[in-house]
Amino acid sequence: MPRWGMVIDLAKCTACQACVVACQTENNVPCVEPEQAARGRIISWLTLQPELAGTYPRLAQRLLPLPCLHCDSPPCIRVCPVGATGITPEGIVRQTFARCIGCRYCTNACPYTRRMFNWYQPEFPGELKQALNPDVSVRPVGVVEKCTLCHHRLLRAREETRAENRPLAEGDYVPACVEICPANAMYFGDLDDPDSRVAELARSPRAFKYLEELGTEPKVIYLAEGEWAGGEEQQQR
Amino acid sequence: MNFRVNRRDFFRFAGGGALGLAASGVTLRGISTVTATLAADEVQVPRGPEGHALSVCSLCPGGCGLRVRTIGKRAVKIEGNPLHPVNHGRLCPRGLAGLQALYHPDRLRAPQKNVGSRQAPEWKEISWDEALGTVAERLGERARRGEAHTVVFVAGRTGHLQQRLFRRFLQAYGSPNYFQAPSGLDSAQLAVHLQQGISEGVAYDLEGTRYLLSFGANLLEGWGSPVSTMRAFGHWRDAVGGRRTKFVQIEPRFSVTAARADEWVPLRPGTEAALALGIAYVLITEGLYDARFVSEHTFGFEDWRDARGQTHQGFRSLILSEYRLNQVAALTEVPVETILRLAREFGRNRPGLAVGPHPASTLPGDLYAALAVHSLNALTGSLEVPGGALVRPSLPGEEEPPAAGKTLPPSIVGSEDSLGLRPDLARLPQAILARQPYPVQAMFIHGTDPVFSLPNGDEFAAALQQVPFVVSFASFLDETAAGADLILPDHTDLEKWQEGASPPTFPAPLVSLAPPVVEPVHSTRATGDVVLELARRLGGRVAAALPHASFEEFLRAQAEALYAAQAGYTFATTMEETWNRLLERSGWWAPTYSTAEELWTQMKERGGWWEPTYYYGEFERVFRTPSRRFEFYSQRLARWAERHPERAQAAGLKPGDDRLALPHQPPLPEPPKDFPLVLIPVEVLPLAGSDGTHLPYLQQIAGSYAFENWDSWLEMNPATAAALGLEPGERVWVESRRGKVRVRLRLHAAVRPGVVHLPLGYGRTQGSDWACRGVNPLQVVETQPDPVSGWLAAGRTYVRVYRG
Amino acid sequence: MEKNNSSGNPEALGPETVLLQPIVATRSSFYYLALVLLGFSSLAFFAWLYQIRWGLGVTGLNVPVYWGFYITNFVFFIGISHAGTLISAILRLAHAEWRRSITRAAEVITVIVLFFGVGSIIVDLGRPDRMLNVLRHPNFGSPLLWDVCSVSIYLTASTIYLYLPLIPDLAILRDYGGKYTWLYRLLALGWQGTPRQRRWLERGIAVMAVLVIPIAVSVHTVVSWVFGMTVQPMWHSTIFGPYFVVGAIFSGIAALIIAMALIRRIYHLEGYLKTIHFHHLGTLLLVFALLWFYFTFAELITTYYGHDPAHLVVFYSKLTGRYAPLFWTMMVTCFLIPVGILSRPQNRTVTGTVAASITILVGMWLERFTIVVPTLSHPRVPWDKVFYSPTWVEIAITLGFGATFIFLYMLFTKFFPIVSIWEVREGREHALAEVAERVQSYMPGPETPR
Repeated sequence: MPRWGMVIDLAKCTACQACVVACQTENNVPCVEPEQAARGRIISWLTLQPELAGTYPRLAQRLLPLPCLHCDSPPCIRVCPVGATGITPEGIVRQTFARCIGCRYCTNACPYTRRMFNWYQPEFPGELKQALNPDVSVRPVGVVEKCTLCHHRLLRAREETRAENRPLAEGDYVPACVEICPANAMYFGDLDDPDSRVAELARSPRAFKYLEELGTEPKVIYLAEGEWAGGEEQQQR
Repeated sequence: MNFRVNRRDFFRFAGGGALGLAASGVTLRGISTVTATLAADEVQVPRGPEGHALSVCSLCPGGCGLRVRTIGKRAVKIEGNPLHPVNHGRLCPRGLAGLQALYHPDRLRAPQKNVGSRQAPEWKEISWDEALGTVAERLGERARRGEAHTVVFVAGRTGHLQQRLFRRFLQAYGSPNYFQAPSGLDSAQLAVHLQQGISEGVAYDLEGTRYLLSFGANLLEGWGSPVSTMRAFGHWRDAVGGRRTKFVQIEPRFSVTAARADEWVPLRPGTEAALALGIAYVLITEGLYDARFVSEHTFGFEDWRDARGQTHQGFRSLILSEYRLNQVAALTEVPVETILRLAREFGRNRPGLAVGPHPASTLPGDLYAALAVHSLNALTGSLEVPGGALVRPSLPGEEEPPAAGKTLPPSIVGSEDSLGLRPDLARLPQAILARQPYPVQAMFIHGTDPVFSLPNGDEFAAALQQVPFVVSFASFLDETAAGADLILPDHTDLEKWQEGASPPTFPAPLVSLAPPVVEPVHSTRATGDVVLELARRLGGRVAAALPHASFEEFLRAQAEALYAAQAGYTFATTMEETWNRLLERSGWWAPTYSTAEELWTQMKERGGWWEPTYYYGEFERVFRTPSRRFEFYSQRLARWAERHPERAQAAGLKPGDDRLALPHQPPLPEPPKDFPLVLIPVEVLPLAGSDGTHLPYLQQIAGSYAFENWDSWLEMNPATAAALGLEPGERVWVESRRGKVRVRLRLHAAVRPGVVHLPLGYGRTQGSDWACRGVNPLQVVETQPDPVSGWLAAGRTYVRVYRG
Repeated sequence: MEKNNSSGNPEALGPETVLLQPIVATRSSFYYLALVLLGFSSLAFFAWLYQIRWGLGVTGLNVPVYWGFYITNFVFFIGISHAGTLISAILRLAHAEWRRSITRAAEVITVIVLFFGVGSIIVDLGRPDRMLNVLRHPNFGSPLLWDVCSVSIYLTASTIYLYLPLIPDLAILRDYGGKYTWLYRLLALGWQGTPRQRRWLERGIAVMAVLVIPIAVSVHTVVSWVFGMTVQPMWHSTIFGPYFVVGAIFSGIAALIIAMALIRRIYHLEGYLKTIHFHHLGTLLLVFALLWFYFTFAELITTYYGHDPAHLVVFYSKLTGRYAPLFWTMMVTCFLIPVGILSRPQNRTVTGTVAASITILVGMWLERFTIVVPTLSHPRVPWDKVFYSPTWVEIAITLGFGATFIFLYMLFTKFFPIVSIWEVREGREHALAEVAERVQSYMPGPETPR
C-alpha cells in the first residue's frame, strides 16, 4: 500500500506561486472579494509562507510553499466530532465535505493553519462558473476545506491503470501543484517505495520537517536551501 | 407513588411536545433547504467528451505553450504543453489564470461604439458589420485624401506573426507609423545593437552558465521568458557534485529574486553601471579577463586612433582611471572586498553571464548601465559560447520584401529622435500634440494599454483626445480603450488561432502555433481576421498584399516559409530531440515532416516548430559593427552623439567626449530639497507586464512575500518610517514633483532606507471592478527622457511621504 | 406536610405566602421588562437567521481567528451552569442549613443556562442543519463529542435534580388551586406527602446530589479539554481541567448572587434571602477568587519560565500587546476588586457581594475571551496581523442570549416558586432540632448512633 508524500526542494523553488494557482484552478477553490480578503478570509489550499528576518542589509528570507502537510499523526483528525476528516490507509488526510458541520475545531487544531473555511457561499460570478473542474466538488457555505493531494487524480489514475491492466507507476498520479512547478522543485510519490525519488530525497541530509518538534510527522518534506560550493579559485569548465 | 393524570392533560402535554419536535425538525429542514438552494445554482457540470487541446499563452511575451483540458465545449484547466521547448509543460501563475480571462464576467462581449463624448463616454453595442464598415470607410477616406501615413498602429509585445500581418497591412496601406510598446529588455537589446551591430534578438544560455550577475534584473519576477528562466534556475540548483551555478542579484531591494539568489548585493540605486565597471576594473587589473578573445574579437579596449588621426580613449584606460575600487565602493556603497570577490568569482567561474538592468518588463533601464553590463560578457569571452550571451538567428520569413509602390513618408517619431531600433512609443504623444511633422488622424491600439503602462500615460491620454478616430482591439475595457471611438474586442487566447515566436532571451528561433481551443464565448473576433477583413474591404493594394481569407490561412502561409527554410524540427519529446541534435552534428537534417502540409499538421499537433541547434562562435553573424568586432567603444553611438551635441550636454558631458561612446556611470541627479526619498516602482510576477489585476487568482497572490494582496501598498523600511513618524498600515501620500497618490503603508525590512517602492499594475480606473484598485506609481514617476537614448524610462524619482 | 384546602387563598400558606406571590400576581413591570428582553431575543433571532442565510462570514471571524464570541459565550454559559447544581448539591451534602432558600434559584440557573451554552455552539456551526451528524457519525476521540455527551448528561441530571425537590412545591401549588392547576397536577406526579413518598424523594435527591457533582466537574473539564487537547500555544496546558472548573464555579456563584439579589428585591424576599446568605456566598466567592488567581498565576508563570517562543508570543500579546487592556481588566475585575471588597467581612453584604459579582461576571467573560482569541491570533506559522472584532451579529446574539436567559428565568419564577417552600418549611420546623442534635454528637462524650 503506497504512502503518498511530497518533497519540496527549497533550493529550487522560485516562489512564483504557480503551484498556488494550479491548485486553485484544479480544485475549484473560490476567490473571495477584496473586502473579504482584507478581513482575512482568503481560501488558499496551498500558500506561500514568507519568513523574513533581520534588518537591512543583513536579511534572510525563506519562502515556503505550504500545502496541507498530510501528517501521519494529524492533530486535526482527532478533534473532528463527526469524523468528517480522517486519514486514509494510503496516508492522505481526507476531508469529507458532505459531512462537515463547520464547527472549525480542526482548523484550530492544525498547528500549520492549513485548513480553510467557507465563510460565505462561494461565488463564481458570471461565466467563471464554466471554468469549474467537474472532477472536484464545489463546496457549499459553512464547510471546512483543505488540500486533498488532488485525490481525484488518484482515483482517476487508478481507474485508468486498471483499465490498462497495469499497476500504478510513478508519474501516473501527480497533484496539480507538482505537475506545474516551472523549476521542477516539487516531487511526489510513494514514501514507502525505497526506489522512488521522493523516498530518496526524504533521506537527504537537507531534508527537514516543518515544526517537527510537534510530532505531527508531516509527509510533505522540505529540502533546505543549499549553498554554492565554489569560490574565487579556478573552476574546471 | 400515585401518578394520576387525566387524558386532557396528557394530550395537552403530548401535543406540546410533538409541536416542539416538529418545530425543531422544520427548522433543521429549513436551514438545510436554504443552504441547498444557495449551492444549487453554482454548479453547472459540463457534459461531453474530455479532450486536450494546445494553445499559446499571451499574457506576457514569455511565449509558453499551453495544453488545455476541455470537457465538451468548455475549457476546465490550463496546463503546459510538455513538448514545448520554452516551458516543457510547466507554467507560471499568470498562464494558469488565463482561464479566468476566458470566462471573465467583465469581458467586452461585442463591438462597442462610444455614442457619448470622449470626456464622458457612453458605450453602445453594435454589430461587426457596422463596426467594420465604419473603420473601412474612415481608412478609405484617409487614403483617398493622401493621408494614409497619418494612421498609427500601436501594438504590444506578443503575437509575432500577427504583428507581421499588422505591419504588412500598414505598409501596404501606406503608413510607416507602426509602434510597439516598450519592453524592459529594450536597454539590453539596444546595448547589444550598439556594441555588436545586430538587430536580432538578444539571448542567453541560462541553463549552461556557471555564474550569473544580475544587475537589477527581476529574474524570477517577470524578466525575459519567465518559465524558461525559472526552469534554468531549478537546473542551477539541481546540479550534481556541488557544481551549482551561482546567481548574484544586485539591486537596492531584497526582492523575491534577491531572496532566492545565492548572494544579494545591495547597492545605491542608479549605480549599477559603476559596479559593473568596478568589477571590470578587477578583471582587468588581475588579468582575469579573456585576453585572447578581447584582442581577437573586440574593438576599443585599448586607446585607438581614428582615420582623422584623433586619439580616442579606450575601455581599459577609462576603467583604470575612473573606476578604481575605492571610488566605486564610495559611489555604490558596496564594500571593496565584495567587489573584489565578485569579480574574482565571475572571472574564474566560466562561462559567466551578466544581465541587466531591467527594472520591470515594461520599463527599460539605463542604457549606459546596459552597455557596462554587456561589456562584462565581452571581457570574460562569454559571447557566442555555451552558457554565455548569444544572438538568436532571425526566423525564416522575417525579411520582408519592401512594399512595391511608392516609398513611405518618414515615421512621425523618427529614428533620428531616439536612438532605438524602433520608434519609441513614449515619444509619440509629444509628436501628436505638437502636430509635427504631421497630425495623426487615426490610431489603432492592440495588445497594450499605453495610457496605463507608459510613464507618460497622462500625456498619451491627452494626445488621444487630439486624434479624431481611435480604434481599440482590447478584450477588456482599459484606460486606453476608454478614450477610443470604437472597440473591436479581440478573442482571448483560447478562442483564436494562437501563435508566438521566440520569446525574449530564448536562444532558438521558434514558432508556436495552435488552433482555437473553444468556441468564442461572446461576439468577439480575432483581430487577425478583422484586419484581413478590413484589407478585403479596402481593396486595392492592401487587399493584394493580404490575400488570405482568414488568419489561419495567413499562418499557413508563414508556415510555408518555415518549410522553405529547410531547417528545424517540430516540437518533440526529449528523446527525439536528442536524436535530432545528434544527426545535426553530423550534418544531417531529418525532420519528421516531408511536405509543407505535414509541417503544418505537425505544428498544430505538437505546438510549433523550432531550430534547436545553436551554432556557437559565428562571429561574422553576430558582430556587424564597422569594425566587425565587439565594440567597447561603440562607433555608432559616437557618430550619433556627434550629430546631437545637445544630448551630450544634457548628459553632463562635453560633445566629443569619448565617454559618450563608452560604458560609464552617468551622474546621479541631486535630490531636490523637499523630496528626500527615492521611489522605485517594482514589478511582481503575478502582475508582470503591468497587467493582471482583473484576474482574481493573480490579485490574491500579488504580494504574498509581504502578506499583501488586492490593493496597492507602499514598501518602506521600518527605520525610515520611524524617522518620519509613520505607523504601519496607515494611509499616506506619496508626492513627487509630478503628482501625488494616496496609498497604504507596509513596513518591510527588505527595503533600503531612504527608498520606497510601489507595485506596478494597480491603479486602473476603467474596466472590471476587480482591476480598479490601488494606485498607479507611473502617475508620480519622473518622466524626463534619458538624455542620451531619449528614452522615457521611469527615471529616478524623488518623493516625499507623509501622513494623509 | 398538611394538605391545603383553601383554594386561591395565599394567606393559607402562612409565612410562606410571599413565596407564592410571584405566581399569583404579576405586576405590569414584569410585562414591560419581558417586552424589552424579548426585543433583544428577537434581534438575536433575526441576527441568527441572517447568519444562516449568508453564512458565518457575517461575523468578525477570519483566518486564523476561527473562534470568537460564540465559543467564548459557550464556555461562559457552561461555566455559569456550575452555579446551581454544584452549589446546591455540595451544600446539601454538607448539610449547610443556609442553603434552603437558595437551592431552587441556583438549580434553575443551571438548567436554563445550559441551553444557551449548547445554543452558542449551534450558532457557531457552519452547517447547523447537519448538527445531527454528531449523533449519526460520532467520533468518540473528539473532545467536542465528549462535550456533547457530558453536557447532555449534565442537563438530564440537573433537570432531574431540579425536578425532584420541585415536586412537593408542585403539590402545594396543585392544592392551592390557582391558575394552571392542570400543569401542576401533571407534574406533581400525585405527590401526597406520605412518609413513603418522602423517603423515596429524599433518597432520590441524595443520590442525585452525589451524582451531579462528578458530572458537573466533568462538564467543564471536558469543555476545557476542547482547548487543552490541541497543541496550540497557551491552550495545551495540563492545568486547564481544574482551572476551568474553578473558574466555572467562580462565575457560577457570582451569577447566583446577582440572581438572588434581584429576586430578593423584586419579590420582596428579604425574609428568606437574608444578609447572612450573601455573607456565606460572599465568603465562598472570596475563596474561589483566590483559588482562581492561584491557577491563573500558575499558568502564566510556567508559560513565562518555559520561554517557548510560540507561547511567549501569545503571552506577551495578553500581557503587554493587543489584548493587554482586556487581560488587565480581567485581572482587576476578577481578582483585585472582588478580593478587595470581600476580604473584609463587613463588606460581604448584599451590595458588596453584588458589586463583586458583577465585576466577576464581566471579568470571567473576558477571561474566556482572552483564552480563546489571543492564541488563535498568533498561529505558529507566520501570519500577517489579523484582528478579530465582532460584528453586530455576534453582539446581538450574545445580548439576545443573555436577555432570553433572564426572560426564561423570570418566566420560571412566574410558574414555580423560586424559593423552595417545603424545604424552608422543613427548615423552620425541624432544622433547629437536627442541628442541635448534630452538634451535640460532636461534643466530648460517648459515641451516639447515627
